Amino acid sequence: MSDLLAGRAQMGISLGFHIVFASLGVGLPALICMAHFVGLKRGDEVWMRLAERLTRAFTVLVVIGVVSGIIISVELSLLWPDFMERAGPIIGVPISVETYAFFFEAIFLALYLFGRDRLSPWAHWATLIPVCLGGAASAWIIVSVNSWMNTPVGFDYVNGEFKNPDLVQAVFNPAMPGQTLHMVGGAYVATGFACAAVYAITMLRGRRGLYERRGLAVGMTLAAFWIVPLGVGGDLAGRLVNENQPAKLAAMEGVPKTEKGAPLTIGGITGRDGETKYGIEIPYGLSLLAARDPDAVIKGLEEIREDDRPPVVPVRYAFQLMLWIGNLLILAVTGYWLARWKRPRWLEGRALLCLIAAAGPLSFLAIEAGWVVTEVGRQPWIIYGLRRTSQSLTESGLVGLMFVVFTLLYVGMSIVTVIALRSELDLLPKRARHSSSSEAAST
Amino acid sequence: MEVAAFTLVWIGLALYALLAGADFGVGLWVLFASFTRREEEIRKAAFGYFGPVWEVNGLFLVFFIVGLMAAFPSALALLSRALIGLVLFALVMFVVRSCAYALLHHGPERYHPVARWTFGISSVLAGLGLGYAAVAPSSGFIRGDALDPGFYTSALALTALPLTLMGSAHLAAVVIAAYAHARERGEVATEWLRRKALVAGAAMLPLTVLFTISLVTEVDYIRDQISSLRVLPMVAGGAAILLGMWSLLRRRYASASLLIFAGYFAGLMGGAFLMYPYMVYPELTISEGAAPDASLLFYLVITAVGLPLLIAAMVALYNMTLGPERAQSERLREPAEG
Ligand code: HDD
Ligand code: HEM
Ligand code: HEM
Repeated sequence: MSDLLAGRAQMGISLGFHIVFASLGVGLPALICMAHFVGLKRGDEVWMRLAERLTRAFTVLVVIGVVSGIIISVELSLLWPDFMERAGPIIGVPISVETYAFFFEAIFLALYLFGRDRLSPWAHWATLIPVCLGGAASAWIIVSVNSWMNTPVGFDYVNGEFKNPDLVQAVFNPAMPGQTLHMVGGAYVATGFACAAVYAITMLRGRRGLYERRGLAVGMTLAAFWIVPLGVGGDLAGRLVNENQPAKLAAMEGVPKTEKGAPLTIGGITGRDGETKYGIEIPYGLSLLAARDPDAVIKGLEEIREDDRPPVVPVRYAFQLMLWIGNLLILAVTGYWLARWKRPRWLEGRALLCLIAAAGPLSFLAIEAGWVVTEVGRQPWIIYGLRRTSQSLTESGLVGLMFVVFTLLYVGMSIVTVIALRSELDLLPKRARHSSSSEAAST
Repeated sequence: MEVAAFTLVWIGLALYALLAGADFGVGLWVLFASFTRREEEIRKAAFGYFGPVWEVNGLFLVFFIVGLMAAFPSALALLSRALIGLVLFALVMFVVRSCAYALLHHGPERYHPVARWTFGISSVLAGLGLGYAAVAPSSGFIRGDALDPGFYTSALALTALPLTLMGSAHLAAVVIAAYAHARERGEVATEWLRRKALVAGAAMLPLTVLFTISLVTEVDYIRDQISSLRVLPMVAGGAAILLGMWSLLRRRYASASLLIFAGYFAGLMGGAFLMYPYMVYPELTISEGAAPDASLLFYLVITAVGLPLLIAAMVALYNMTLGPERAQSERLREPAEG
């Protein structure tokens, strides 16, 4: 494996790992906040128990989430010092704003965890609000940094250097609205489904009490609320890709030749040149979707220099995967709420519960796939159109070793997460001794 | 402007060094305690302190890196190239330590003994790695883009290691003792740690002298600076630490930990003062490393708004989780249910 490939793969693994915890870090506080609110309002023990259990899962996930975030923040400059040196003055400032979002999230989370017995019930609940806002804000900011890498603006590019930075313009870059809305939506939807899936599985195993049904309900509420912004954001992101990154769009949609009134191809087998066989074609579909005009011209890969093209095959399949899963999620949300309003028997049966159970892991798969589209689709550029990934890699000979060591560490971290989650959630009766705060034991 | 930005970034680093230094020291004492009969109590006190704060403490590293990214990108790139080995080593140890902590705190009991050892050992190694990395920029051994391997065996590096280790042991013992005292977590742990803190503090003295000697003999620039008024912050820091030790002798835990923290803080800030105008001696000065003014300005504004808020929130957290218990329970209206 070349060093470049090792570096890229390491970045991909690190971020692919982090995004799972980051998405849960955005979504779980919202779920806890909802369950805790209803519990307090109605003085309802079951809702409180749900909030508590979600919190305990969250405490484990945060430990690993924070560690994976710290790894990335160090790794970015170790692997891509040239990128940091050049782009630092532009992206460093929003990222330092993000640091504050993290800090507040972490501090208020600690206040929530350790303040249970020391704050009034509503003040205790209120400490969750900064946790929710901090998570969403950090996701928004870091994705705006990523969208700047996709559509870099706000500077004069002179001899490979970014002069006269205009930070406001850089943060509000063209790809920002679509990507941020879509990512934040994705985090909420995926967390909602993850929670719903856990309880759907419990119900499929025969435990169908009030507690399980409420766990399912709170997850599906969050998912239902955010699936619309997710869809709007995805559509917007797609149109913005068409405007700003034609190479990525051509790879996503498998468009070998420039076409007026391009069809949308669904499924099929795509080759390296973007040619798709056996797909279903919807006439004018792509032009309509990507430009809102049936006669719009969509640029094909042929117009892009060979060594400026992204790898078409992974981008295309990842994009298709995301779309299929997206539609499945819409089906699951619709099915659940139809069942709640009109068809209560669906919830007794297995089909709907199985769908929801599958939707949990699948929604995280969609997030990973979406990032493959974004990141692999940007290749060979690290900053689209300006700097190549290959120009940015560190010259250190340690990259290969680093890749191996960190891959092992991620395996270890995954194992630890699973062990800790299982023990944290299975030991419910021993709560007093084993509480999320070792404090509670002696207070 | 770059000097103001540098000060802020350096404050981030100093706070990280202190808070995380104490956290690494926690691992050291946990390890040490397992050879004594008091293991259980000391461990309880140590993790009682560590639990609520380590995550926030670790974030100061991110604060520092991101500050460099925004305000001193060339310094970040230079350090990333030169120190990649050491930083990677420390990072790996940090990850291992966090996993061990996750198992200790959230995992089933049968993993606890292994996790405890892992926690202790990786804490010490991470601290050592960072201690090594921290002296490199002032050592003069970073040349061009690389760290001269001679650095690893230089007197400077070799005296810095025990200094780092002892410093974090000292800090950790002081804060855990203060915590255990405030929270009435057992006189035994308090007293044990108080003694250890006194010993570690006393050991710092000869180590500091040795380190200073090697600094002066190996780094020409420091030799020229150290006889000037620029050493004042360092001297003040030393005085604060001595005062803190005196408080500790008299069992005034709160003032002892404040003074000792302030003393180390002044010492670290004083280090930057001695180095001025260099960031990485002799490769990079502060103004050479600085980002364009627009970025510096934004960074300063953001920090001016964010940092006070952050510190207020941190004080609230530390107060609630680490401060005396009684003050809290008076404010407590009705205990939360569940
Ligand atoms: C729950 C997860 C999820 C689901 C169901 C979808 N997506 Fe997505 N998608 C993401 C999660 C995601 C993501 C992981 O959040 C990405 C990666 C980068 C980003 O900003 O969002 C993303 C990227 C992404 C991009 C690339 C943006 C860029 O590179 O600038 C496009 C065009 C879409 N999505 C479009 C869609 C459409 C039209 C969907 C409708 C079904 C859809 N996605 C469903
Ligand atoms: C968390 C979600 C993310 C995932 C899953 C992800 C995934 C990936 C993948 C798969 C690669 C390798 C692409 C390739 O080389 O073919 C990569 C590269 C990279 N990503 Fe991301 N990414 C994410 C978010 C981000 C963000 C928010 C940033 C910016 C702050 C970022 C910065 C980079 C950089 C610098 C590289 C290396 C250079 C490059 O390959 O272009 N990524 N990422
Ligand atoms: C799309 C990409 C990303 C998103 C949506 C995202 C979002 C988040 C969120 C919501 C958290 C809190 C997680 C939790 O509490 O469990 C978090 C943690 C963290 N992230 Fe990311 N992040 C992304 C990429 C990155 C990158 C590129 C970096 C490095 C600069 C980074 C650094 C961190 C750090 C240091 C933490 C720990 C802070 C804490 O929660 O206390 N993240 N991230």
